[in-house]
Amino acid sequence: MTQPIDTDPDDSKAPTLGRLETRFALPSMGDRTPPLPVVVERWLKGRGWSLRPHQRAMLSAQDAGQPTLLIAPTGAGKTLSGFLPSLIELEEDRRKGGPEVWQDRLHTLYISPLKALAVDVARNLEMPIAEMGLDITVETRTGDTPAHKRQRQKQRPPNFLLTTPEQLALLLASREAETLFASLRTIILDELHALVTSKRGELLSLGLSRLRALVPDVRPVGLSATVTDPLELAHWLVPHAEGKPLNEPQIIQLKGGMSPNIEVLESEETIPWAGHSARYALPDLYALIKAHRTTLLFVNTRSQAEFLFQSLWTINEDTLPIALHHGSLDVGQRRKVEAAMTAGSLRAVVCTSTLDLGIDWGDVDLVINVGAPKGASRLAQRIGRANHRLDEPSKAILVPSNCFELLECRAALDANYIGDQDTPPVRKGGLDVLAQHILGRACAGPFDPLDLYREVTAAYPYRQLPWELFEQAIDFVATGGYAMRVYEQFAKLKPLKDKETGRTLWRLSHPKRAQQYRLNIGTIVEDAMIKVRLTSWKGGSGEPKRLGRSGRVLGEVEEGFIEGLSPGDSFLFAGQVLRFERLEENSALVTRTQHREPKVPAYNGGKFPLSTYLASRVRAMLADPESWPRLPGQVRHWLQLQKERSIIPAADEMLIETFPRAGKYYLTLYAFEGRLALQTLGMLLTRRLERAGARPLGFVASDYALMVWGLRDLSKLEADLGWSFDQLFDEDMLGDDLESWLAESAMLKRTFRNCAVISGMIERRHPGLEKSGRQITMSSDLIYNVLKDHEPDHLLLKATWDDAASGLLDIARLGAMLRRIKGRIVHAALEEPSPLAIPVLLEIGREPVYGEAEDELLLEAAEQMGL
Amino acid sequence: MGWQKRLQQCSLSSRLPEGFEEQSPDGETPVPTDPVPADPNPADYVDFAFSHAGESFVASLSGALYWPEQKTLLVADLHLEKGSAFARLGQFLPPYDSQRTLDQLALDIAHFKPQKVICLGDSFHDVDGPKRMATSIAERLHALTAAQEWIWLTGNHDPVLSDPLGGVAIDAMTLASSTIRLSLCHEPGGSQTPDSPSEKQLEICGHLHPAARIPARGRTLRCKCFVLTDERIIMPAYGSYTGGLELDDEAFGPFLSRDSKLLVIGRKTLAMHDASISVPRRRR
Repeated sequence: MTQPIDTDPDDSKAPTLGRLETRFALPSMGDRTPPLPVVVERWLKGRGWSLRPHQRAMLSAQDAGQPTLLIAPTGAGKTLSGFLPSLIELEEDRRKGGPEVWQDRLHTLYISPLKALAVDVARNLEMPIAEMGLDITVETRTGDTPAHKRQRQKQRPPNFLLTTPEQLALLLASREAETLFASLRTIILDELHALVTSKRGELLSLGLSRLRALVPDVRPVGLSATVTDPLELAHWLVPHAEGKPLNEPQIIQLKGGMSPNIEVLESEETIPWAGHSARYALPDLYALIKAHRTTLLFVNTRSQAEFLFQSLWTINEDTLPIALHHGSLDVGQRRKVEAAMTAGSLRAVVCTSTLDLGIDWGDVDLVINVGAPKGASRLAQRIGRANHRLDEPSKAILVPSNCFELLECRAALDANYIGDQDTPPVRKGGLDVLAQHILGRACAGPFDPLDLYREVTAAYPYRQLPWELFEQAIDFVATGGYAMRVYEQFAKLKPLKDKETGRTLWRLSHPKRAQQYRLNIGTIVEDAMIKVRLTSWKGGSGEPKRLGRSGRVLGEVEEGFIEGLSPGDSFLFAGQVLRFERLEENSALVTRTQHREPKVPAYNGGKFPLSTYLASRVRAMLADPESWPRLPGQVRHWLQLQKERSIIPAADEMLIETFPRAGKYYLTLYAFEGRLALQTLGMLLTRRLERAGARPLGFVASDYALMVWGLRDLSKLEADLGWSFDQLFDEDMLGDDLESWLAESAMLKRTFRNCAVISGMIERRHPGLEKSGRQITMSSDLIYNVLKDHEPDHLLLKATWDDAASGLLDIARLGAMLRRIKGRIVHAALEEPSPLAIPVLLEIGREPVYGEAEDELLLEAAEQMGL
Repeated sequence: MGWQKRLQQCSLSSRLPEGFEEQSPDGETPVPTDPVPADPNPADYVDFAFSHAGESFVASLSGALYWPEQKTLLVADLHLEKGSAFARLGQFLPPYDSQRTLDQLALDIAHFKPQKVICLGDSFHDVDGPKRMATSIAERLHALTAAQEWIWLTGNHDPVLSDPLGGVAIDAMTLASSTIRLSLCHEPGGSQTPDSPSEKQLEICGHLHPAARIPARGRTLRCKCFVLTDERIIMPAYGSYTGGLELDDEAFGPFLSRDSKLLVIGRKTLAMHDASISVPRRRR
């Protein structure tokens, strides 16, 4: 192992690209780069290009046969760099061995997190392959690929197969896997940084391990945007044994590019105290769109996207081509937008994170991020969409949608934060995903559990999985893994004696189980989706009017959303105001309506919590009135009022405000610790208040603050009930209170549902039957209750707890906060809500009730009814 | 529902893979249920006495209904062995559902000390349920059915029940007192019309798994409930793997009216409401 080598980027004719950094010994850097095949050389010359240093490093790495991670910012030609070694190797083999050597044989597998990205990359590869005159076949394989083509791909595969983690799992679970992958040399994992932080990444890591078992020499190549810990990501590519990597990966890191040019929108309009619509900024946004060639407007949720799109069109006097793109829209519709974008015929696209990842978007010269940054890495990726070249700075504008967000944006820019990296760490492998993999493995043929254990623990996320848990997972897949062994007769896996070795193998009990596996593969559990079908009223003039049943599908929405609508309600979807008529089988029938004010889907908050780093910056800024002059006047005024009427806490203090209002008593805590941590705190705190006899009724949590209300005066907790604030916020609440709350928590039940579905305990689909998502919800909550009472140590509850503790609850962060505020709580007892409290107060009504208060409300409702 | 129709339905469901239900009433969503305490304290037992159609009844938090007049305990939709019905299809739900349901039932029996227990149909999730039941659980059930008079009414999920469970299986029945005739059956509207129209009759049935949505301070609570109308009482589903069907489902249409009442089951209390209090999903 050696220190990173800096290479001089100017050894090529390419424009200055920044700094190339490689880690570990490069056996053949620079001058010892293998010669390029003539066709490639000629092609590069013809375009006036030469290989960039990182591309050359990729070629050397291939020569050395090492697992390789290429880290480069957007615009560095990452994808071509990934494929170039494969192109060259194929061409060389052909030259030496004749044109048939690679006929109908798979050489390179490419895995992308997005179907669209796979399609895009295939398109981008076609051009150089055609221009070089290479005889290389490239195909994609996604859920949209027709069955006959998928079948043919197994018999006669293309040289390059571009697909997704789920499709890889399906291929590996087929009996043809061994022959299909026998010739495989390289597996390219694109956008690896995004994949590894999800369950899909865990599934992929197991798939990679399985591939390695089939083809020991296969070389993984990871392509990634900049990450916090490149070495960890590189190790993800490498096989492990006993928790240690078996070989050293090669890291090729291309730093830099120009720093982006980012500003916070300076609007003439007043920023609202609360809300997430950024409605105030519409005229500014429109003016910006007009002033640029092509603008991408990123928002955090689908409903925000619909709202913004709709609002922009209401003021689109020049009928600029402005489009909408989000994950729920019909595929055809999305493809149209993507094509129009590539063709440069759009002036703006309103989009969600579906466009975060590397699709080449043509000539974007402005990125607008509506809402606060929340995390630096995501924002950097979004900003990278603008100006897909390294030699010009990208231009981006942040549009905060309320006062708190403005503080956050300002803090982010002041700290030059955007260059920082705060990607989450790689996840520990989930047991639910493991269970899915085990079933998949059995679908491909009988397996020896010892071999599979070795394979599984070779995967980075599972490198520390103990044998006992693995055994439990097999037991779980086979018969449910219950202490009460009553399901043996229905077993999915059955033991089988290997005649040669005498060892016990596991085999699938019935081919039907393989069919079930194929129908339920994947780790993304979504609400059941309902198609939105646009139709119209037929008949009239004497005839009774009836609703047409056929019509264009506009896209899909969650069943829960449609269930919330009553016939006649209007809502925004696919950029139009639609009237819900009725639900028919799997479709919501809708008609066009003249309504201007739709019933907009309830806002469900930003998906991404505020990062720890930004949180402390915001606190510091708030505490330092000298930094206020740089804030817009009305925000300054807001803070000034706060200073007069309540307290501005010092950076290391925690402000608690209490005030009465309409017969209830409120307590607000300004913690700036992100929604997840504060939601968890809210749950625990109300539990604790309940125990103290303070009769809490509910709470609301935002990224910035937590507000609790109840029937007793919370400012007199100590006097009345003997609980000081320090006691109330003692870290010990993370012990018993957490345990007991979690057991009842809806959040945990949702997590359980995901785990139950992924692990195969509950099926999304059953051969011949569509099981609706609604039924899944039903069963999973009831199952959870039963399991919790009877087998609290069950594998699935372990999986659920692991997920919840890391991803959903932010317990570590909450713990750090409770330690931080110990002895530093300042209390302001107020008669009315403070300026800081008002935005939080406005959020009330969007959180579910919990626990004991339910009964209280039930009785209260009964009283009101006079019963 | 007449027996012919029930037979029809039986053959319809036999075309579905076993263990799977037809759409309604089991296209249902969760309702919070409290676990059965291991060592129940009788003092904690919550029940709710009320009168309906001039008769006195007592409802329990578990969803059982007791008629003191004839010392009769009624429960509906136990769906025993639902877990193993799913297991047969490769979905290994925790195999403790029957045990829990019977635990709860034993508690209710211990509390009310009825002379007679009547299960209003869908007592088993499917006709093979009794065969799949673990021996220990079957023995338990047997002991329960032997301890007092026990009647299984048939339901759409369990049109035929074999006898080793004890008790008597019939389609529908009536219980008459000096003041009223209680007509018991699985599905609402399944009872025969009284012999003389002047006779006062109340139907008690299950099948629909009613659940209410109660708005309270801008929130909505979702609870299992009894539906009380002039003609009948629709009981909540009792089994540990049963959920609830919301009252705005069209299946309830024919049976609800403006002056219907709901006896709503909370976590630790029961409360009586006008039916109009239950709101459809997310409508304000």
